[in-house]
Amino acid sequence: MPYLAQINIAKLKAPIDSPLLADFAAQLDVVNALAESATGFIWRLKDETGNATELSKSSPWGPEYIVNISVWQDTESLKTFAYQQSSHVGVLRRRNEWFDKLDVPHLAMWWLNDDERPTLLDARRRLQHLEAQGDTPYAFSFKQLFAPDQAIFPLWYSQSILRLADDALIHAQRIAEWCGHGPILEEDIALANIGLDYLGQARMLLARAGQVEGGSRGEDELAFWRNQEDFFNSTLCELPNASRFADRDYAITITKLFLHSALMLDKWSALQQSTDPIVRAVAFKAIKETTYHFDHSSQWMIRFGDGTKESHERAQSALNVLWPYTHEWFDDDSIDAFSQAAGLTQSNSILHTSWLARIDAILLQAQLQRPEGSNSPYIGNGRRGAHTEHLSYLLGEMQSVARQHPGAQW
Amino acid sequence: MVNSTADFHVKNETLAEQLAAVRALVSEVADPEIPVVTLHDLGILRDVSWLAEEFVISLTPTYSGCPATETIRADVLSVLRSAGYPKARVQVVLEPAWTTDWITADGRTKLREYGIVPPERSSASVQQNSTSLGCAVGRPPEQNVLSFQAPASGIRCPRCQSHQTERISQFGSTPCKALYRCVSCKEPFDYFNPH
Repeated sequence: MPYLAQINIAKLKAPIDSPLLADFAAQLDVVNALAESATGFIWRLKDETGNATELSKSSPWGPEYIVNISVWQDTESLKTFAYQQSSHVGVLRRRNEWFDKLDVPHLAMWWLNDDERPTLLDARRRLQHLEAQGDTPYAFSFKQLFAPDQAIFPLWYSQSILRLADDALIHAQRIAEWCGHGPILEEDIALANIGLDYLGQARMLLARAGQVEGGSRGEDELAFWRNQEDFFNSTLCELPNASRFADRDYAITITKLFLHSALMLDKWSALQQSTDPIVRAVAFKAIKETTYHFDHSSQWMIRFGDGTKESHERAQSALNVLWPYTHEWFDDDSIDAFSQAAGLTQSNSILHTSWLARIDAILLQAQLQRPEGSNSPYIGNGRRGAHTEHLSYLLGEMQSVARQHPGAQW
Repeated sequence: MVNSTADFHVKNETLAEQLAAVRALVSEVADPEIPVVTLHDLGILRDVSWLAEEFVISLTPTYSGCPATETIRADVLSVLRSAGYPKARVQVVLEPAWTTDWITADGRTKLREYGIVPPERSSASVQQNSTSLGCAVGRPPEQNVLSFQAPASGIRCPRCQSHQTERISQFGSTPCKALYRCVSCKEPFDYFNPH
């Protein structure tokens, strides 16, 4: 059953510990406690102090804003607390004494899975969307409420496609770094071809994502004009080709391709049944390309693992470094749940067994060890827009020409 | 033949005749990477129609990342423009997806004569193999998941017809080709990857 998430922000007229805000600060703990005992309250974002003021100081809005993020049973329970609970209403009445009036939306709501909790980053994206697009199922205000399942092409639809598109795009860009630097000529050409396959898949998927989000952005806008937090690729794809052995380590690149293509074999296979005609068509092409990628990388894994002492060591090291980032691929969140319910994509977690079997079969031949610590709790957040610093450098390079010459044509 | 200077309104042709003429022109546009084959030979021309006062040429891409797609689009429009059909646009259709099965028999002959071995397996076998991927793990990659791919040896040499050939690389000069060498005549040659 879906829950309702909300974010509201307020701009302080003075620091939270100043005399002007003293009355507000004094009531904060009480109001928070009342919220937690209110009917329909599920969860709220808080820091060590028990409220969110410390978190707010490092929030994307800056220290002069306070941020409140919480999860409720439904819109009714949130509304009842916000506008009928006497202490909260008391705070609302005096808000002009403490907060500046904002000329952008200060509150956004959206539906999410009951086992999911919002992050600051996601909440900010919702508020920005509300400001730019008005009330939509992705982010709405009390002006226009939406039911949990109400929309034709809701935002999760394009985001779900962007996850596929961005994996392909970012992977293509990383692979392209080898252009002209391949260890041998045939490999240079092979990598350029593989990168091109990924790029082609990315372009068709980006175009589709732009179409379903309303058509205002094409593939180029999506590739070159989105910022880091609006990319939804899995973390592994953005990791650099560098290792402790070399600035550009072929073992890293091949191991990434090996792990990823093994995943995509099953994923594209499943996506041939997607309810989306374009995703289906892309999957039909991509499965064949991916088969070549998996073959090529598998052969190199065997050559590395069963090769010299150094090639074995580098391949094993690459596996160890990259392995924790694969956990993210088998995680299903609320975007996936919506997408799977609509038949757009299929379960990620279900792919795990088959993926491991593919990997293990090759590692056995390569005499490489599947990294221990496979039960590490780490799950990357790239698919939700939280990235490593590596992506910003990658985007800096990839987007610089388009941004310096907006609208330029070949 | 179409009068190359006339414009649509003065042409004394019915729409059906115009469509046939446009289709004939587009069919003969050469592939920019392998100019010996036409769009018709490759099987990527899906439809020609007249919609909202313009000709709509529906093409389907071969490989996802094939960079020739942009050039083909420009070539088609340029051929139509110089033949007196300026009102035209190219739209890309993705479904049903292209496979190497769409290459015509004529196209296959032209490819071989040009020195590129046409794909030997049909996409039916491609599909069969790709759906049986799951049970193929555990065997060496040369024999398992990739059985439909460019084989390691045995492709017939387009020059001396020998079967004593070997694959140099699965990835060749374009995304659609693998690189081979003939052991008998020592010449290298391209193989059009099954897709």
